[in-house]
Amino acid sequence: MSGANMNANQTGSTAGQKQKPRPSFIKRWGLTGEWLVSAAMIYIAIILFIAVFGFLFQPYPHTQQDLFNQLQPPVFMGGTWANILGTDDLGRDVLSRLIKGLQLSVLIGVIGTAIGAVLGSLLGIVAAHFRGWVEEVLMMLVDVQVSLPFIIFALAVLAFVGNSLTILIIVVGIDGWERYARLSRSMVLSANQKDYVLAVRSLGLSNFKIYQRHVLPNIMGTLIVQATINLPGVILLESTLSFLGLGVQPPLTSLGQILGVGRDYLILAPWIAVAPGMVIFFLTLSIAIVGDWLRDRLDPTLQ
Amino acid sequence: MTRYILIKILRSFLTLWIVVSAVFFVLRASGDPLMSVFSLGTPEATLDVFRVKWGIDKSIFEQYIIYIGDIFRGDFGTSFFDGRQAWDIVMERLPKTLLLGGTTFVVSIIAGVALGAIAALKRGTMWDRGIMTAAVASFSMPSYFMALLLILLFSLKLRWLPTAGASTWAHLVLPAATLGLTLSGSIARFTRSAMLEVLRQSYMRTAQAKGAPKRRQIVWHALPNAAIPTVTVIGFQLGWLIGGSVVIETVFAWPGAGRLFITAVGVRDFAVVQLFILMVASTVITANLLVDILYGYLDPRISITGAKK
Amino acid sequence: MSKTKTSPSITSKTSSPLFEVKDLSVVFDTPDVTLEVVDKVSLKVSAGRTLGLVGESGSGKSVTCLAALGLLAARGRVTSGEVMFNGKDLLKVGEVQMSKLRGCEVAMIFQDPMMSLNPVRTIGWQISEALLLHQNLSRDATYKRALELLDMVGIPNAKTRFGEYPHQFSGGMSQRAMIAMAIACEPKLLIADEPTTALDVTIQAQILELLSDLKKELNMAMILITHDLGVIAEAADDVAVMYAGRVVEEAPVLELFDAPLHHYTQGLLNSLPRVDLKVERLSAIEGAAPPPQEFVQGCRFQLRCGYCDDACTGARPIFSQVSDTRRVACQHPMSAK
Repeated sequence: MSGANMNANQTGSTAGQKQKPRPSFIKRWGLTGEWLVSAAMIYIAIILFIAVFGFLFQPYPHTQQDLFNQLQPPVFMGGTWANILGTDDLGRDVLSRLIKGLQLSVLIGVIGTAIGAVLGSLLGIVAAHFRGWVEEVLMMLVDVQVSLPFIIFALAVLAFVGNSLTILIIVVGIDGWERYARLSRSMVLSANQKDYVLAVRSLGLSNFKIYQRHVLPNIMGTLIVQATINLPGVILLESTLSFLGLGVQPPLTSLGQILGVGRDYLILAPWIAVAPGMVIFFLTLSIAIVGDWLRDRLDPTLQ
Repeated sequence: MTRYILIKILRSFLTLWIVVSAVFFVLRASGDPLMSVFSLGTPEATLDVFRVKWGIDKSIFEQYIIYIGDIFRGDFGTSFFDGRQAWDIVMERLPKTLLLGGTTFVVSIIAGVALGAIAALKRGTMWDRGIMTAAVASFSMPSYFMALLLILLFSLKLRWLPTAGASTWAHLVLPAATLGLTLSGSIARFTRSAMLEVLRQSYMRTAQAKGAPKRRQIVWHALPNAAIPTVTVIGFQLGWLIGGSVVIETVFAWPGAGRLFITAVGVRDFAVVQLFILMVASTVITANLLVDILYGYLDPRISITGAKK
Repeated sequence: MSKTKTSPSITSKTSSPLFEVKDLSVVFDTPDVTLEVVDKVSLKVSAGRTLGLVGESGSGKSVTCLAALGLLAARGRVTSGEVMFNGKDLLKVGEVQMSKLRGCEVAMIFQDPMMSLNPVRTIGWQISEALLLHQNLSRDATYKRALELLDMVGIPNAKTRFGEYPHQFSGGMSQRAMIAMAIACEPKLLIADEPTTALDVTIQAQILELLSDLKKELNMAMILITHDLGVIAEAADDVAVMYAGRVVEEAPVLELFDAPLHHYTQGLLNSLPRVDLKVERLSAIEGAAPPPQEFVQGCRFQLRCGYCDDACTGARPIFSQVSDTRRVACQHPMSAK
């Protein structure tokens, strides 16, 4: 700081605002949001990359058994580099199975969320548009959905109706549809009151076009944010179902399914369960962090 | 006002009825339950006997009418597997579930509200970040995975606590902790944001200007206001808790109704599954109804009908 | 002359001030920058007199008083100055001591009474709390006194109103209730931060009259913060004009209106609509008050002042004591008539 500046401060006149450097200890702790969000985004990117391209790196086919090599520990627990994350009860390489399982978990999670989002939003829009008994029926459906914890419903359906992959994806996707429905319904209701919609409607624009061009773009943002909130839940749901044995069935594998197997070998070979568990955990955590950040950016008035 | 409550109750019954009926049709339409009980080679004659015995020789609609009728008489069906009344089977296991669920619920509310309030009061500090990070982490982790990790650490490595069963108080700790950590995490998160919202209101400044010391401001001014939205959230968490205990009971081999459900579902035991769902739905619907009414009591600005005064 | 004024022969110089703010500076810490919101402000007020603190929104008038009573929210910070009350510096008194003084010896009421009352507690409970915190009365005595207070502030049906909630009160009623809370323990100083801004004009007059009556009855000192010169004319004995975080002029009210010395004050007075003159357009001061980030060196009014020159852009204008009761911070004050 120059001598002139010092004097100016002392006489009390100011040259505008005083710039204060951010306290450095906060940066050192790294607990500011930015660091965490970046880490989360990187993790998600890695997962997505592995989900799509993982098969290129997979050391072994995920079904390849090697009964002489059962329950080998990972390389950092005394194992060999041949099986970086160890092997499972049938001698299959855990890392390879993890990569394969990740693919399916992510696939089911994303498709499921998309199904739920589209379905729920459409229902909400339809209800808001037609009002009357249509809306009543929808509200009743929402009440019904809310009155039963979804996992119980999912378990019953999967056990009785069957648990092919299609059914699984649909069931998992339906989880949380009522949130989209409620959101889209209330947003469409309020949008329909807005002057610009009334104006455009009186000019004769068809309903479909009104929704497409005027209403949808405005509600899209909120719905997408809701999807990011729901996505972790969908992934968790699929993994829970698979863990319990009612989700993804062998020979297909998902992270939850591997965990389910690993449960039996918790003492002997904890890595079988811990590895996929950690992957799921960090994945849902990252999505939650990024989702929070997205929400902050899109509307900082929402706490 | 009572008319309003009555309408709500009727609607709740309607919802319950729809849930039960929908489940009925989905389950019964899904195929022959006999195959999960009997092996393939069983002669058709034997199967027919059981079809009549279990009433599945009739059309679905007939079965449905009979089912509803039976419910009103208190008969919830017979287990295919066990031969006993579904009611008895479930009732036998219910207390354990209530023990686990009840303990978890109470402890989580206390812990969650306290931690959430602390996080709000110490906003931006390490306490806040720590509590919030822990909260987010706890509900990102699959509950069964947390259960396994806790088992790994406390049962297998440290040998402090048992893994399975429900014979001693020590058995209660791990399952309750697993569920409780996640539940208190979401309660804490919500309490924090409710508190933050309340703390920035003008009336908090008035309280301070009156000369109320900090503690009084929090306990007598902030908390009562923050409690209102928090109570509603807690009520809605009950459904989550029930769903979660189904999984946790299985992981910890806790002999409760949740685990019974998983087993029953596995063998497609209609009666038990249907009864369990009926009970769960009733509980959740009742809880939601209570929360609705409670909200009207707690907030003097809202009449019980939900209208703004 | 209006009923709300104290006789002009009692000047603020002869009786020693009950409450004196000396060179108070307050800053707001934001993540990027530290904003100077109040810059070496000095005020004083004596028992039985009303100091009108007038300025635009953002001039720092509310922050000054909040800071004086330790009511600043998290981001505000006092960087210098003293606040003398009864011989003590309130800024150095701890929070525990301060909370004993608040509501008891010094009280403050705020702008939006509907939002400033706890929505889930009855009015009676909130007034009783003010008594409970500072006085050791029995339950019955507290109740009686609370009813008395409701009467004093002109709320009819005190018994019914006691058990009602804030949302059942109108704006004017809520403000009366707030006043009741504030005077419950007969404070020596009452700070009213824009008490009538959120109210209808008719109610405004009533509230101002109520405040003045109470002031006389309890011989309180009062600081009335407002942006409305009409309120000042009606209710204040002495006036301090604030602009951009600084006091620019101080004067007894009649002298201020009669012969303002600071150009900002003159500008404010000019912009008042007048019944007795025909004007085509209301005059307004060109430009807008700068936010703290845009404060310049020297006189902060220079960009909007028609009389500024180089002297105004250098150092901060210092006060010139024009008379016993007046001072102005300007290099080229208007000549007194």
